[in-house]
Amino acid sequence: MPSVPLWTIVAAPLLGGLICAALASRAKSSRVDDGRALRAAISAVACCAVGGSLVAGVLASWPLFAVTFGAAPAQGPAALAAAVAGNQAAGLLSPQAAASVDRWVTGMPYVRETLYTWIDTGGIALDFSLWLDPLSVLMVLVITSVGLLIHLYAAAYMADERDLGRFFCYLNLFCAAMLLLVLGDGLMTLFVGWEGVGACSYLLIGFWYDKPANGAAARKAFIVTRIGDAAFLLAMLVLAWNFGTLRIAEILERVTVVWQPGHPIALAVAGLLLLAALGKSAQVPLQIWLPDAMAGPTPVSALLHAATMVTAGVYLIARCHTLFLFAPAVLAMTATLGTITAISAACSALGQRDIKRVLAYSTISQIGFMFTALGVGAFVAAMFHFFTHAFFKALLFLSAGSVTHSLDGETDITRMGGLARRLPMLTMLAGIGAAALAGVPLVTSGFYSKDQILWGAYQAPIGNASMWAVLVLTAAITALYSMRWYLLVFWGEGASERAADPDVDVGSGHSSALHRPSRWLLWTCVPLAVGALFAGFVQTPERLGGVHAFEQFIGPAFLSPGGLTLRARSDGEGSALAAEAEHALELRLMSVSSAAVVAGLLLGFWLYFLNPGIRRLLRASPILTRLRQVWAAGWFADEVADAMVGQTYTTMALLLRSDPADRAVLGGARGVGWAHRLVARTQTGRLQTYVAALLLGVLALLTVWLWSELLPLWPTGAGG
Amino acid sequence: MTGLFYVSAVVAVIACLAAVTRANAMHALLFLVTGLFAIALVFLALGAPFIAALEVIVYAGAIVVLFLFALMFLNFGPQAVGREMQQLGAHGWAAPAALSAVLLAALASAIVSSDPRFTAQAALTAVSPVSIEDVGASLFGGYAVAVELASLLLLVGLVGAMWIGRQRSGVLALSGTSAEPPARLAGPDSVPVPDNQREGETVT
Amino acid sequence: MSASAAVPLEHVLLLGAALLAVGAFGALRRRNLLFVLVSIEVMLNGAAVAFVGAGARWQQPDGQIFVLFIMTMAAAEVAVGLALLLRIRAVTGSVDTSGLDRLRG
Repeated sequence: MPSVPLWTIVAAPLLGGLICAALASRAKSSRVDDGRALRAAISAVACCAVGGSLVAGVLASWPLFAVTFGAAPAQGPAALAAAVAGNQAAGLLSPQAAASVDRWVTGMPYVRETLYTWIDTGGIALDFSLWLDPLSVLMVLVITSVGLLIHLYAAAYMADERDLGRFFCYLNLFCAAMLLLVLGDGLMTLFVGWEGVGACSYLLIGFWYDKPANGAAARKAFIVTRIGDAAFLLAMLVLAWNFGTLRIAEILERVTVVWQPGHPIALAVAGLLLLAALGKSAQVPLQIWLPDAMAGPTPVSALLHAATMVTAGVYLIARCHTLFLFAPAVLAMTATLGTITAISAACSALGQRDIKRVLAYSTISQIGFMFTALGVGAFVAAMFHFFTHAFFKALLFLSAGSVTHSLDGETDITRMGGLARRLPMLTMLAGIGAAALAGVPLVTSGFYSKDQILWGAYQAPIGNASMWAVLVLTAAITALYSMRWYLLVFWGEGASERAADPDVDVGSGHSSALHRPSRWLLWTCVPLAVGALFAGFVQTPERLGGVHAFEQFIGPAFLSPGGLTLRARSDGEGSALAAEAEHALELRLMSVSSAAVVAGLLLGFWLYFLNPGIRRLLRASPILTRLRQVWAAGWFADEVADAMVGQTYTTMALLLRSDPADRAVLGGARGVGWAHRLVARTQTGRLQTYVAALLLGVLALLTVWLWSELLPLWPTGAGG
Repeated sequence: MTGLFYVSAVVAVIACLAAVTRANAMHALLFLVTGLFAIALVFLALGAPFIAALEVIVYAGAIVVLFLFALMFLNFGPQAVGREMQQLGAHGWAAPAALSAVLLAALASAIVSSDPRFTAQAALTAVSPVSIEDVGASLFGGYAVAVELASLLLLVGLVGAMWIGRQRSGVLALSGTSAEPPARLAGPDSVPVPDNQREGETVT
Repeated sequence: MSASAAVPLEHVLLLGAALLAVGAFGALRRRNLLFVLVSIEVMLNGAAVAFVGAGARWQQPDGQIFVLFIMTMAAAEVAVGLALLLRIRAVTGSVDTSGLDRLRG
């Protein structure tokens, strides 16, 4: 197994992006027919770049797999020796690959690679170095594999785009920035990727910049996430000030030595990092940018939602987990905000009519689940959900893109329908995605990961039954809106057949103008569908097979140097009886949540398939209508943000329009001018005035002198 | 010599007062010469014959002659005396006189105040002559550099006076003998002055 | 020379002060530049008297030497002043100071 330097993972898409950029203007300026070969070359370069990154990622992370699974039974300090021994038994995993792996203080395997000294000045020295541990491996593999599929899809989806070079340049840079983010050894390196992701998202959301709305959406995404970026910078400043380093591993080690849980600086830093994550991951209260980010091309949405950008916040918190464990209040806030986000965004998804906006709100909601998991200390569950979510969300977006493509740009789901007969394969793929999003019990990956989060929310010390209940309700709503989305888009009658139905606003049918999505578009989705179905089986509950491969691999990444943990309840007992009781409880809770999901699915099935007429009755209810309006507007978050920030700004601008500060300065200047005129008046230009002034000065001096003789105001040298 | 001092002092003050108040410039200069001679006598009375001689030679001689030359160049006609008379009319005396009087009073009170540095010793120890030898010795001894600087000052004054006083043809020399008062430099940059700012300054 | 001992210093200083005041009065009262210069000469002579008196009082030659410097300075001043006077007369046609107020603030 050749050892691959880590930097190749980032460098491959970076290089691809640069090549695309170099070819972009030629591809754009050439005529459509002439440019076809050039555009194909651009697509190939971009896909190969991400593919190369995937290969490099697999090769680079192989030693970590080798260490973990080559020595499966071994835990603790003896793991390295056991790993080497186990490798020989496994045969596939070579010993020298495992030997290149270091062990962190917690026993977590990692690979570190210092490229060069970036900054070495004053009290701080920053290396530009990369760090690969199980958490990074997970992120890298998801980003590159899902990213590759999305690139392949985009190559066909965007084939008619004139400015293809620019598109793939941004897309590749997007991947490169995200990879740098997850591979960064220090917060500063991470921040470079963080900002790169933000910049690329801006460029991609506003890709079709000739429409003002797209530019506005891009600006909104950039500015809202920038709030979080500012918090990130502040957090870095505080950490550098306190620890003199920005290396995450070093900070986490020092934290356990220096601080006690609840230390104010830990609270401040964790709070700032949480704010950064909230901005990037579009969580309440900074969620407003994501629904508008649909302005970009569909592959961009898929990439943004599934693999890059919005998961950066989850990654950040997971990466700094020890820091957050030292700030229990911030963790509780993370869980609370995550839960609020999950349920509110799920409700909003229920009210949307745009095919992609439903998915956007579902992303916000699902990431809310992840934040809840992070907040209750169930880091593994959060990352597991990220893992499965990447597959089914990418699948859903790519399916939605295919649908829009085939319907000639139609995005309103209430005007779709009846696609199942015409596009059976797309219907099946989207069905798998929707089922995974809904968390259909037992057969989909979404079920297993969501179940982990629910279990974590229930039994973690910070979590509680009410949080669990809210999440179960959210899961039911998720099932309902997944069903609604799926059935409205693919089933029922086609729009033309429903023209007479008063439910539908406009009856212009699309069935005649159906573009069949190409085989390429569909087949790139198949691996995602496989992932959406089977990715969950790497980690199953105890009573359902008890597979723990995922936790075994990634669990060590969440061990804290001091052994600190939030899992206080499971401490101490360790007996088989208690474990058995716990497993039974887990199964019972799972049954409840599964029942909720199934109920949601059935309700959706009834409302949107079996008995669509009932919806007209429901629409008559003013409460439901009002709710639908609120949800369609996303709880009026935009309006609230506008009122709180926009209006405040406008008011301030109005107040400041007359320039109070300027006035003060001008007033000072006017005072100076006035004083000048006063003083200038003494300069009469007449000789006699000056003589008189001179004599008066002599007189004044004489007077002072005489008085000082009479009244000794100050000691005179002559002793008078 | 005491009597010489007091007589000369009275003459000096009166002559100087006359010199600064006469309307006729020639009369004023003659009074000034008188005053300077009186001051020379004061120096003599104070035991400074060298300075007394210099006062006569340099002041009454050279400087006053310089004034006379200037007067000659200025060529004041009879109407100039009338103009001066008009200016020295009834009003305009109070403020300068008051200021001067206050100054004199302040100085006098400082001189005759109860400060022991002035009265106690000054009354007992009166002035006495200083020999010319001492003056000459320190003039060319400790003050040599100052003397050189003084000569330099004279040279600079000479050159400066020459440069300033030479007759130039051009814009500036526009009305050398004109009785009309242009009153200010003509030129594009000259600012017209409102009449109300020039009240009481009749220059006809 | 011993007779001069009868003059007390304060009388000499009073004479100097009186000459200074007379000169100041003239400088304040007159508008003709020629008379202003004459007044300044009077003021300088007042200072010279004070110097000579003080030098004689303390038996130091410095007082007389300073009078010498005053004379030097006065000569230079009068030379430059009278040259200026002539120029002003040539330019403005008058030696009256009241017209020379272009430098007023």
